[in-house]
Parts: sequence; structure tokens; C-alpha cells
Amino acid sequence: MPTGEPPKLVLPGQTAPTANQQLHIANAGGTVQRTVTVAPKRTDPGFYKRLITQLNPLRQSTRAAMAISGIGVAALALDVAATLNLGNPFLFYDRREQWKEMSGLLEGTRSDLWRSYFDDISPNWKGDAVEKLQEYVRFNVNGLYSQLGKVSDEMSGAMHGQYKEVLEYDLSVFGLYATSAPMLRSVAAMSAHPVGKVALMTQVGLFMSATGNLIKQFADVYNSYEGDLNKLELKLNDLRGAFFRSGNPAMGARDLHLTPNIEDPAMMDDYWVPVSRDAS
Amino acid sequence: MDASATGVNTLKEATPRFEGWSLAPLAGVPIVGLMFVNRFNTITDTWKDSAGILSEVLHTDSGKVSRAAENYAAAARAGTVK
Repeated sequence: MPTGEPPKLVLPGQTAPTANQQLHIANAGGTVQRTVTVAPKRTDPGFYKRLITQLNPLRQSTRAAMAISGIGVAALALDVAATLNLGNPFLFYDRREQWKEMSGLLEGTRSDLWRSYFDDISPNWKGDAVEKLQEYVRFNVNGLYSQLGKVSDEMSGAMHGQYKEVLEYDLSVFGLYATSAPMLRSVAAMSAHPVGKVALMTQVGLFMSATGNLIKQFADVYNSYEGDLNKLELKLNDLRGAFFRSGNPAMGARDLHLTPNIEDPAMMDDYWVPVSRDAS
Repeated sequence: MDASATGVNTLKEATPRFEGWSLAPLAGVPIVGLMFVNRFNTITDTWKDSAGILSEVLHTDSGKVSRAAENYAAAARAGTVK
């Protein structure tokens, strides 16, 4: 872009702006009010895809060795179990970030509401409306926001835990295959000789126990998410209790609304009294 | 208030579930993870419903407050404010 020229304007309805493009928000007169930088949407860096592509040839030679060794079926079952447990860490990373952003935005909208009450309404008015609104903001809406916030925070944490475990497991499986495949391949080449066959069976046995251990450890670690999930479900109960009648979604939402009296013209004199009234 | 409602509603629309292609074997969720997926989705769905309720509450009530302000302004113009 030549210097001195303004950045390209992106209008709503046009194609979505790409990474780090600037969006200018103008008023009716065409003057730019503020500029927003559009954050790029997270894209999958392709770790998982590359992992699978690189793992497949290694699996081929390992499987061939297993078949020759004569303990192929059991080893094959482990091989399948190990690879089915591979996961795409990006899936969890993305969700971790998403929940975190949601938590942040939620807190932002909560603060907006809180500030607009305490900055605009409470210093300028007295009367019933101010009290009703204060109750509404402090005890009703604020509570709802914090219940939602707790769950989304916890979700982000749980997703991070899964991200870490999945990534570690992926790397261990890959490491195991990458180290054993060449060895198994060379031992398999010698398997015509009885001694070579014994060596192969030993190697396949070693590989099997290493894989078996890995799968078991991963399943154990993953099952310990039961604890995380339990914490989440406890918070979910609080959330349900706050939003639904008797905490049961089937019974419908609670009536969380502000009293309609606040807009009743007949009751206006009680509800809306300017603070300056005393002075006058 | 209405802005807060819109904010919450946007969040509600963006709630990340686990579904579709990511549940196929080898597509991303490890096979031991599949037994947890439903429970995570339950949490996500409840969160989404609750955010929907909050957004609806804020939306309706912001209407009440702005109508109250209009009523007051109308009364002030008419000179009936005591």
C-alpha cells in the first residue's frame, strides 16, 4: 500500500476482513469515529494432520513386523487402540481460547451494566425506581452473570487440561513408533533365521508392552477428568438453580424481570424523583 | 443495558459444542474422550440456554427502562411532573 493513502475501508456485508485488517467505524457525516482491528480467526496449524501422515508409514512397517512375529493379532489390537486414542490438540486449544474469550466478554458486559447504573442512574435519581434497579443490578443480574462466568472459566480450564494431555499422548505415541519402527524393520528382515525370529518376537513384545502402558496411562489420566467434570457439574447446578425454576430446566426459566411498575406513568411520581428535588 | 443484552446474546450464539465431524474416530477427540463428550455438551447447552435467558431478561428490561425515561420526558414536557 502506498504511504499516505488511508487503509482500505471494510464495509459490513462485504467479505469478512482477513487477519489484522482494520475496520473504520464512521458516523453519519462520514467522519471516522474509531478504528477496530479485526483479530484473525484461529486456524488449525495442522499439527494433527501432519502427525497422522507421518505416523502411517511407521505403522505400516511396525504392523508388518508384528505379522511376521506370529503375535500379530494381539499387537494389532494394541496398535489400533493406541492410534484411536490420538487426538487433535487444536480442537481443545480452540475451545479453551473460546471459553476464555467468552468469559472476558461476559465480564465486560457485566461491568457495562454495573457502571451504567452507578454512574448514570444512582447519582441522579432517588425514589422507588432507583431502589428497584439497584436490587435488580446488584442481586439479580450480577448473580446471573457470575454464575455464567464461573462455568465458562471452569470450562476453559478443563479444555486446557485436555489439550495438554492430548498433546502429550500424541507425542509419546509418535515417539514410540518412530523409535521402534526402524528396529522392528531390521529385525523383521532377519526373521527367516530361527534366532532372528526370536529377536523379532522379543522386540514386538517390548513394543506391545510399551504401547499397552501408554494406552493405560492415557486412559487413567483422561479418566481423572472425571474430577474436573464433577466440579463443572457442581457449578452447573448453581447455574441451573439461578436460572430455572427449582433448578430444573424442564420447569422453565425463573421470572427474573424488573418490575413493570417502573414504566407505569401512574406511578411515575413515586418511582422517578430527581436528586435535585430537595435543592429546589 | 440493551448493549449488554446484545453482548450476552452474541456469546450465546458462539458457545462451542463438540459435534459433527470432530467426533468420528481419528478425527480429533481421543476415543477415551468420547465418553465425556456428552457431559461437556450438556454443560455447554445449559450455559447456552442460561445465557439466552439472561439476554432476554436484559433485553426486555432495557425496554422498560427506556420507556420509563420516555414517559418521564413526556410528562416533563407536559409540565405534570410534581
